Amino acid sequence: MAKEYLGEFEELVLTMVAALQKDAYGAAISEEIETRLKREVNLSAVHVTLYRLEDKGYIKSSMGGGTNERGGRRKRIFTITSAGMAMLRALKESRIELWKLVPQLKMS
Amino acid sequence: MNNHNHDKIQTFRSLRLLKWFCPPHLYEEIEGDLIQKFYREAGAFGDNKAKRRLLWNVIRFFRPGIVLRSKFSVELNQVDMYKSYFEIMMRNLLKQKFYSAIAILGLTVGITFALLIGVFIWGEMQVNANLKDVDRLYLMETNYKATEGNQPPFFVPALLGQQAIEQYPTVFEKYYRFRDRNITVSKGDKHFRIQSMIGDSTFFEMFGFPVLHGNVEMALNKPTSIVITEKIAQQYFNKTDVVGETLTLSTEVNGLKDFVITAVMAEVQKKNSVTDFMNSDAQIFLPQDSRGDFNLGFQDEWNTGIITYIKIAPNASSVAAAAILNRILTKEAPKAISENKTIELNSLKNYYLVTNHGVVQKLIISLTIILFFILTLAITNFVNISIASSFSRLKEVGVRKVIGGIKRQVVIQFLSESLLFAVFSGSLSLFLYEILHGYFGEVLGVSLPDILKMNFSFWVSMLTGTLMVGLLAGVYPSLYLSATETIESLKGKFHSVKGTIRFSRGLVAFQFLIAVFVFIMSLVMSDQISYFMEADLGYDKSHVLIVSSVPRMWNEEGMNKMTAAKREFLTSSKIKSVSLSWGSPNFNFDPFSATINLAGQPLEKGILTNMASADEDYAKVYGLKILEGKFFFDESEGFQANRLVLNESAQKALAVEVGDKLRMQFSDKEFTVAGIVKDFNFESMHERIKPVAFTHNRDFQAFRFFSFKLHPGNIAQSVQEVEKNWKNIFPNDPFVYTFTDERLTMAYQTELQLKRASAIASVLVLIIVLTGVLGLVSLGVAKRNKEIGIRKVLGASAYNILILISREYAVLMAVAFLMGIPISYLFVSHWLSGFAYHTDLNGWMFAVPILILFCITITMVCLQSLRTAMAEPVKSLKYE
Repeated sequence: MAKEYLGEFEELVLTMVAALQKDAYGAAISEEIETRLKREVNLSAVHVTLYRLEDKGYIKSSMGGGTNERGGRRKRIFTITSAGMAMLRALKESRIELWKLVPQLKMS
Repeated sequence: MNNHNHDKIQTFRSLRLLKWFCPPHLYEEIEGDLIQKFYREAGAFGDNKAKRRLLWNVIRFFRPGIVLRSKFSVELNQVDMYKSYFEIMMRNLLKQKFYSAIAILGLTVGITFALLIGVFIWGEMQVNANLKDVDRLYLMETNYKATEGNQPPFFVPALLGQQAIEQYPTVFEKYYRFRDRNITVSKGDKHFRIQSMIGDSTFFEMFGFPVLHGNVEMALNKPTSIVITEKIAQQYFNKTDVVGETLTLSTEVNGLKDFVITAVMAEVQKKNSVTDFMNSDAQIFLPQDSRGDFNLGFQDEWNTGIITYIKIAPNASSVAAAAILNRILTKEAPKAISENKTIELNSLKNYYLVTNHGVVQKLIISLTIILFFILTLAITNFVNISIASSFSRLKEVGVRKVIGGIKRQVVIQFLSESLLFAVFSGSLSLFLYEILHGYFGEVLGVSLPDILKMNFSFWVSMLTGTLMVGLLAGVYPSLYLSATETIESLKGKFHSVKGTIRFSRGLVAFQFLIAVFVFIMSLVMSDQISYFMEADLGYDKSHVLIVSSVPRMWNEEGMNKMTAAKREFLTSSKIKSVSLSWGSPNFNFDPFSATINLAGQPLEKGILTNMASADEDYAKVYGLKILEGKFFFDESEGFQANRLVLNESAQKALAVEVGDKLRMQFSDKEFTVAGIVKDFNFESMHERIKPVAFTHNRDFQAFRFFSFKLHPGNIAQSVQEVEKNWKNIFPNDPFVYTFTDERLTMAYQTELQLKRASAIASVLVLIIVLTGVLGLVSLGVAKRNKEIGIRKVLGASAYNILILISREYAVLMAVAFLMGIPISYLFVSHWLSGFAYHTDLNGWMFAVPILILFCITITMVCLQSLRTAMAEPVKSLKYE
């Protein structure tokens, strides 16, 4: 069975969707990545990744309300699906497994 | 505040850009996100930087992950659908090879011809477009109140331009005046006769001609300066950087004189109304101050005529400018000059089109009509064939509809088919253009550009033109086919068959109408033009060789030299007679016009007369018929000064006889009428013959041409012999010659172009119409196969069947011809009325094209249906 893989950025965006919950939309995700990880992200890259994740079935979307700071435009709110959640968990677990293999405290 | 921001957002250009490429269902949220980001950044970096970053962010959204997201899934389906359309089209195309070929042939012929004509017309419209500020350039022309016998209109009083600039500097910017001379230019042993313009130093600033070497501002400042074109530089020096070199010009007044080259001009657009004024193709340019050398009598006087261009200020109106010029003329000029003329301004933008009786414009209009007709024919052909052959496709349409195809899809399918046909024919036409443009250019006497050198707008118009043709051709068949009832079409019955057949017949009749119109037009044109070329011009144009490079030694010594040269030429056995003259019929005939009147009567009683100048042998060379008296004097008599020879028109207008004394404007001498010659056509046949008076060139002291009447026989050999003699007698002058009939051809060049183009058009029309009829007949016969079988069973002969089928076409043609005759009559009689001398319209001009068209069509119809008519009825009936 071919296993699906996620790219690094995809994983990051997916995690942000899971973390932000009701507030997960393009601009918020990119802002959050910028402030928390101090990492410049391209808004269009975030959008493209979100759509791709939606295509793959890890997240789903619905239109939310608009606010004045967006000139009244509505947001597309993304929520993580159970498939997405399972994927994230699997990823996390595999990382921990791998991490355990790394010899610890060898610095001295 | 928020509202204010909202408005601002509405105006962001960047977001409009986004709208253009972003899929609609994603647009709102992306826009929202971008706006949100913009405000955040505006807070951090300020408005301007945020705006820039917004644009950049928008641009970064232009990526496949966004752009292709739009209808990607939807489009996949449609691609399949189009693929199926295409497949079905190819199937039909191959199944009905014959009809497809006819449709493509018609369209291709039409588009190719349209392309050739279109490029030609475009080229003619572009004449003068390269001149600097062409919108503001005007040629002054004199409008005489008297209608007969004036100077050419392009001569205006020499002082007018200068006065205009001095008095109204806000209206007029610059002027350029010139007179032309054909000058023998020598360098070492190279002698050529070159057309020159002798004029003001404003030449370059005025027209913006590009210069390769030398200083534009100083180029025409000294009396011995000369500016030459690249071509002339190559001709004499084999290089272009020749500023500072000298050329020797043979001048009328000061003999051989050296001129210093001050600038070399780049090749200018071949046709323009400045250096190529009246097709003169000037290649060297001399300063105004050198005019004395060339005996150009004009000083800055009101009295002398000169060609003047004037540039008006950017916001001045030409109407106001013309009014001012006329005011200056009446105020400043002597009354004798100003009283019977007004000045007009002709925009250089369209001067080329409207000059010379608007002959070019007429040509363009006629060609556009022909072009339109041919395209219409090609389109109607396509419509007819597709309607006729679509009967077999009704079932396909029915099936499509039954399985859920909607009407619009059927329309799109048939439209895209015809578009594809058009595009295919268009590409084929581009190939054909590439092959044919050389030949076609030769026929029209112009050079048509290569397809690879076409500019962007050509490709745009080519594409839109082709698509238009495809759309026009496809719109009726597709609407008609899509409109049939599904059940009916599945049954193979046509609800609207009657209507379609009527429409189809109408189109065929229309085609015949156009065909007969084009035939009649082309026949009348060709008849009129041969009438021009072959009409009795009143002089004998055969075997007359004109040498125009006679050294201009306009003094007593020169006259003697010419007389001696004449004697020497006459020793040759090939030469019948020789004459020295100013001009020849249809070739710079007269130097000027002047009023002549009976001696003792006031000048006002005189008539304006074209003053020609020749010697006593002119009538012999040109075969002019002497009605009374003699051509100046008899051989035995010897030269007699101050004699005139009049043509019949002048004699009648003045009511004089041989022996009467006449006086002439600009001369204080008295002239005796020595003879009267029969009227002959010395100008274009567009105009009536005007009064002419010949003066002897010993009195007039100016001459330009030697005319040789050659014995018939080997003309090429005779020319060689004349050239040999010429080289002996005038070693320093080139031998530039032409034949009278060649000049005549040149004078009617535009008419000849029209004649050739319309002949080609007739052939094309014939091809399109006949192939169209061929297709229709064979389709019609195929449909009536069973009917014909039944008729034969019931006893009809093959002959009856042929009559039956061809009757339909005969009726159509009769209708078309009945309508075509009056329409073409109106058109051609209007066209002919533009000529002072023209052929009479004859019955045969209408009868012959009609008969030919009728016979060919009926023969074709019969041949095409013969097989069906001869076939055993069993064959067509047994499949039931």
